[in-house]
Amino acid sequence: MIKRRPHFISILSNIGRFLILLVIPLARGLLVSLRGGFQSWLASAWMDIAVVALIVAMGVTAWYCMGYCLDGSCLIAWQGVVFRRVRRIPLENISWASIVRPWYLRPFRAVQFRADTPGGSHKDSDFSMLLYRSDADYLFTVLDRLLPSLKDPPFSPREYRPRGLYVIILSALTSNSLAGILLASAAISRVGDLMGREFSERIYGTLEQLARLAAFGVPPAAAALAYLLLGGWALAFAANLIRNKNLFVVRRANSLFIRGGILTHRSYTLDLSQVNYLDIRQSVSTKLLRLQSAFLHTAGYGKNKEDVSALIPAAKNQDAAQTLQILAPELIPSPRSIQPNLGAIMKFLLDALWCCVLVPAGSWLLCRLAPNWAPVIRYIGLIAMVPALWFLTVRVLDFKTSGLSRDGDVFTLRYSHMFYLHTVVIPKKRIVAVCFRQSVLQWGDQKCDVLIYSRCEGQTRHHLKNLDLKDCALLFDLPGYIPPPKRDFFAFLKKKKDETA
Amino acid sequence: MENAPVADNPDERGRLPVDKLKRVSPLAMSIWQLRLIFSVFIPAFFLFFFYRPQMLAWKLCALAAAAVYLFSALVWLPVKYLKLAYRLDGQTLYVRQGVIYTRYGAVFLENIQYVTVSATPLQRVFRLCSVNMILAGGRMTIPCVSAEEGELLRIWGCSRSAP
Repeated sequence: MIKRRPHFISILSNIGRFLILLVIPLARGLLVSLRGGFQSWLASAWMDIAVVALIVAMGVTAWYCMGYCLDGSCLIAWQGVVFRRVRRIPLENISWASIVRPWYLRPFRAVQFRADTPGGSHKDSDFSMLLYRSDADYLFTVLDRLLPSLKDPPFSPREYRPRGLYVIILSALTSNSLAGILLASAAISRVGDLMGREFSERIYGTLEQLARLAAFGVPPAAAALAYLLLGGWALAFAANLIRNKNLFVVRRANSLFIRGGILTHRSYTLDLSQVNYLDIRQSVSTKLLRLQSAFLHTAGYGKNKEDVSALIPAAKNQDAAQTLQILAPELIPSPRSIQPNLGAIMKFLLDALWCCVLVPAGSWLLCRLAPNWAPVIRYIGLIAMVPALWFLTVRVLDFKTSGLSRDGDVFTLRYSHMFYLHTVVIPKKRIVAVCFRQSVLQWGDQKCDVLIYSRCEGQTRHHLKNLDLKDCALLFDLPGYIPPPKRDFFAFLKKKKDETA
Repeated sequence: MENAPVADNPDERGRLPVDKLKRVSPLAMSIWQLRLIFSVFIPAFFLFFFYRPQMLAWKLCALAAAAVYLFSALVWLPVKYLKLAYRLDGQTLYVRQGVIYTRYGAVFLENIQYVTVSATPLQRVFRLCSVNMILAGGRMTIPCVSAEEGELLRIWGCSRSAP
């Protein structure tokens, strides 16, 4: 059992926690300058140096008291100077481990190592430390070997490298304008902090001028909004592309190895027996182009938004099916056996129709209330109609494709959530609870909404609309919920009549 | 587990009819009614301090409180009681609840992490308790079961680890 310490760079992150102590020299400087001026401040400058030395010492002590070791079947991690916390994580409970090598840490040969179990916090990984690359590689190899792959009979590994075009499509699909805008504004603010407020104001001013020049007949405010969304999306797209480029997946007997990224290299090893479900995602555009993306859901995997969670970035339906056969043959979707009836169409479309009605109505009302802003409001209303109509299209496709099926002990759930169509393939043992929700309107034809809760650290719910209660109860082996047969009133009358006769 | 609300005999087609679920203790209605009285009449009592009985606002508030009370006491709570039911069926716990939406929930024994049995002061007076099944990704609560049934449900929930 060799005890190891984290990389010395983690001293810097430890120091960051104690920077609040700089308030002491600041307050002292303020008080002394008010009373005695520069000379008296200089005379007692030793106090400031002492505080800075204290902060550095605390950072170093925190690093010194931090460490980990592999003890037989446990990964032990400890930290804390006054309040010491020791964590023992059984290796067999670790569902995945990852090594992240950001470009700025590469010269120091430092990497971020993370490992997680199905328990613990749903926000943070159970083990996360900045390690020397050699230490992290050793730990990763040990965990990789302890995953069930080598315990099982010999299995020839299968490799998958997606085409560059598919990675571009995935990046385009998962890009979010808002995330890009936040990223850009954070970057501009940071530049402003470093180079002065005037500089950041100049950037904003230039952007405003550009928006005015490129308005092309549209109100400048509306054009600025459109360009902001477009620019944000482009930035998020670039970030996603950098993250997902060079994706490489290896399937072993019961584990998966995933690697990806250009500037920041990321490697993951996943225990397949801990995979909760496979999520095949399609948007309207990919549905029309017959493309699909597949994502794996494992406890803790993907906690960090920058994790590479795609198993298949994007591929033609046929290619994706073949790739799934190679990478996860136990999670193949089956054709749907239960589907909503035609009468349920309004249940699918109502939300989207409300959006399509309320957006123009709201724009009209706002135009009446603020006529000076009418051109901008009309333009924004027009832009807002695009997602509303998009949502309506998603719901129409959802009605055509949603449903439920079962193949052995693996269920396939087809439903939509917001702007995406999901095909979730989930083993029975990963379903923690099933709920059939029936509204007053669904009593008549014994239909219900099916809510399926899957195993995870937080709560994940899959919502399927308007399916037959009896069929669903039979499919999930829940005989307790098979509704009693409907009483045939005319048969009852006939029987009574026969009895009396 | 002798007194546990286990499955009744299935019918000739091997089905366990949905109406064979077991209702919670009738004392639950008393607790809910008392809670309703507190929640309606305490604000009504404070109303006296802000408005005089002749004022229109006082009359409107009193009328609203009375309407809420009558609707809850005569419609909402009886329906809630009639709908709230559960049954144990081997490895599955069925719980039916809801007023406007009826929710037919099913929890599988193998996914129960642990069980907590809790009781509010009012529940303690009536010797009732609430049972929370904590799952790996959710929870299922059965309110207002008798203390004995709560204990039986707890034993059932924890029986996964038993040999």
